[in-house]
Amino acid sequence: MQTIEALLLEPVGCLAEFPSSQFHQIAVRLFRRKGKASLSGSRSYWRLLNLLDALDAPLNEEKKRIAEAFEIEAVDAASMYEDVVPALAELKSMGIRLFVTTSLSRKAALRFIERNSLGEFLSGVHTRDDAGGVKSAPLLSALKGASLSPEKTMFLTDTLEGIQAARSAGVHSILMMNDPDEAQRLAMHNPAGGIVSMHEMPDFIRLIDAQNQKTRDL
Amino acid sequence: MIVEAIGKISSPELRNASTIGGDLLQEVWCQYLRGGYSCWRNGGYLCYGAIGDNSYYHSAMGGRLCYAVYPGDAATALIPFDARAKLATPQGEKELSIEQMVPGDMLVDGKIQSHVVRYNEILTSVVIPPPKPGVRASFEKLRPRGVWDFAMASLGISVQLHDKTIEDSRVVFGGISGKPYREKTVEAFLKGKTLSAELGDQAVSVALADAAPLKYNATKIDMAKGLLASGLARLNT
Repeated sequence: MQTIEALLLEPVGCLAEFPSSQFHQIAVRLFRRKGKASLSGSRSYWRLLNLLDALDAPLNEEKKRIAEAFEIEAVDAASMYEDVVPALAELKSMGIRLFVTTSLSRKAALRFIERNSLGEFLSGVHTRDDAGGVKSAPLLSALKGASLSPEKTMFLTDTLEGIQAARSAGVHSILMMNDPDEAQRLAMHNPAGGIVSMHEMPDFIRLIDAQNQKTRDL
Repeated sequence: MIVEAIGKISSPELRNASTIGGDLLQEVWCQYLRGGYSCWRNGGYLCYGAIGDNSYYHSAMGGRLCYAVYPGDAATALIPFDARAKLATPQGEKELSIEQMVPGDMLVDGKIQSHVVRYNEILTSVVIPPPKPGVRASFEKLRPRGVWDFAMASLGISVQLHDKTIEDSRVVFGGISGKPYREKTVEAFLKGKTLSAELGDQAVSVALADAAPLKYNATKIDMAKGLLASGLARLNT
């Protein structure tokens, strides 16, 4: 792996535990989905993104408003992981450029950033509204907008769809191993790496750097 | 106590053919690493122990990328005596405490290892200072099989007594963390206490508050606490 210069962060499941019900409600209201909400906020979110991704035309204004309102509700109910802020501060001090790249609406993403005081760590925010699409679209928008080199960029995710989105954008998919059983299943899909906690991310990047340094020295 | 601890390392055949340096600086015994999985110590970027079977050889005290436990017993027994290691390095001799030499997962020369000895350094000797007056020590080890197995949990403990009052102590757990885990909270708790039959239970109540077990290894913490109680009981006899 090349020395890492940038990290793309999806708030849902990687920076914070999100509730499932709001994403499920969007699927029910906009796509007439039936059944129970998943226990995992991440899984509900990415299932919803699959539905949004499959649309032939963009959501109309009314549906956009409905989705946004539920997303903001989800942001307000989300609880950020305690290791995130120290890890982001350390990563920033190491010179790693940090971007929120999310399929949430811009309004919901900005609210999440503001509520959790993350603005000072970020070099940019790319949402589905900016990118004109979901899943890999915000990643591609960040790569293009900030002239990032994909092989020097990581995307953190805790779902199979996230791994696939990273792969299709050409960046390294890093599995956030929140749930060991789910992570075991996802590890079989060959993510580029995996961490148990955000506090490991700075060491991950240092290790890659040290490995590359060693190769250069030989 | 050190002789007793060394006698519990591996099998007689392996013990008689090996060195103290080999035990102190050995690679972790994670089944995923040994099984050729592409983990942190094997050229990959993921700890399979953190998400797979972590019942035996993985940390119950958190981790730093790799979640394998430090497998050696000698360090757990030597730290209670403030033992030191001497290294030959290109810059001359270097001396470290055993605790400093085996601090747990470290990035050294572009790889993760449990110790800080670099590729161009050699461990040449281990120095054990004479025990202070009034020192009693004990080593306890729980393992799945009677011989030739690594600690599920182990304990090296020393107390320096004046009459029956503990003036100083060292409490070091093995088999539960990526390093020999020195439990300074218990050491502080023991200071000034009288060695008694009840002390073990009291010490257990403050021990290992920072435990962060993985899915299958919470029992390691119970075992370690049990060893603390039995270790203190042994010192009281």
